Amino acid sequence: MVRLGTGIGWRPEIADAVERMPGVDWVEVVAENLCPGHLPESLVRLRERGVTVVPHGVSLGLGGAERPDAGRLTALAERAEALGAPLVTEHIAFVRAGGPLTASAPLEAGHLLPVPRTRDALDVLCANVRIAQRALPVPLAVENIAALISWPGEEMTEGQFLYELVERTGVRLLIDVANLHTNHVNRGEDPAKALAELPVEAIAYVHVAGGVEKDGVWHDSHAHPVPRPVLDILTDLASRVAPPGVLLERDEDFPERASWSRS
Amino acid sequence: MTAIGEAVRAGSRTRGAQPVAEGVRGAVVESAPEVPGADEAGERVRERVALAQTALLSALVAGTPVPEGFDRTRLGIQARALAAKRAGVVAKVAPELPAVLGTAYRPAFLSYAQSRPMGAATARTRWTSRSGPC
Repeated sequence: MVRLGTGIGWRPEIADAVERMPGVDWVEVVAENLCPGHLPESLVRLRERGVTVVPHGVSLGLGGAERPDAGRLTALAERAEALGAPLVTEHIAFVRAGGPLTASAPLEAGHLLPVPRTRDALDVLCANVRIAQRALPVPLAVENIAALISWPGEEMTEGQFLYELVERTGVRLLIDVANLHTNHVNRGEDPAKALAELPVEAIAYVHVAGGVEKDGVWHDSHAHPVPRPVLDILTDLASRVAPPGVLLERDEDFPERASWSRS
Repeated sequence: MTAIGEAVRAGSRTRGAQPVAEGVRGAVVESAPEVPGADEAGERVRERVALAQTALLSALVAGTPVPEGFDRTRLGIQARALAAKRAGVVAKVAPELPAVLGTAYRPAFLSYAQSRPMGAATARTRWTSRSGPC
């Protein structure tokens, strides 16, 4: 597994701060925000300095009922090539529905929604991951998402679902410890149990982010400081395996640089 | 970032002490069989998953009835979160709307959005910080 080190989510709004920040081994960039023909100058400068750049896709919908779109896969592959990335990442989620399989109008969520942890949904996810792996020039890692809602009639825990997914496809995992915390608050799922059940050897890297609790619901905002429970889950994970990379996600409400490098 | 480094170091000190769940130890992650052309999900399975996901998403963005077994309160929170996110995307792509409507923009958009699910074009811009990179 490629050793990535410590990284931060690159966003155009914080490009200057990221370039100046000490100790950044690598960055992750939302794949859909990039044009491989003209990469942002800041990213080119980081690449020249030897900083690894990993494209992070958000729109494939690998957990959706439809096969992943060939055009979207080609676009993701082009971005991986343009950045010389050692891997690409996406999410275990569905982002659209309707369409030909249901003979209804296509619907877009504009957001990552949880897939039901059932045998059916796992079969579809595994098939879609294999299609994506064949289309991509580098290994794929997929991320556990944060959910507000639970599906009725689930047949597996998060850890069991991830274990089978890895065993059947060889896909790597991007484990988001803030999302494990979110699912703890919102769905009563135990992060330690998930970590004990999932194949930690498959972890490519780890996401860490802040969020906020409103009326008993945890919102994975990426706009608040990283709370102690999230750091504790990271410590638990690191007690089980040495994560090849750890990345801080901060999308909005950027604090002053001084307080930020401390978070 | 300092706190993150400390959290990882704290964990590495106790590495090896954690019990590993039965069956996990032997996980083979580097050598899954590669079967070109294999698609183990049949069309029937895809259809069942499609129907379930469409019923849920339709309840969230098109106001259709909540499918059986879901928590209505949570679905309401999720539906409002999706609509708010969409309002934010539209405000970024068409800043003249909030500029002209001011505080009336959000309630006006949310009421418009209730009966009109998002189109593919807005969905594409949702993921990008501006109107698209290429």
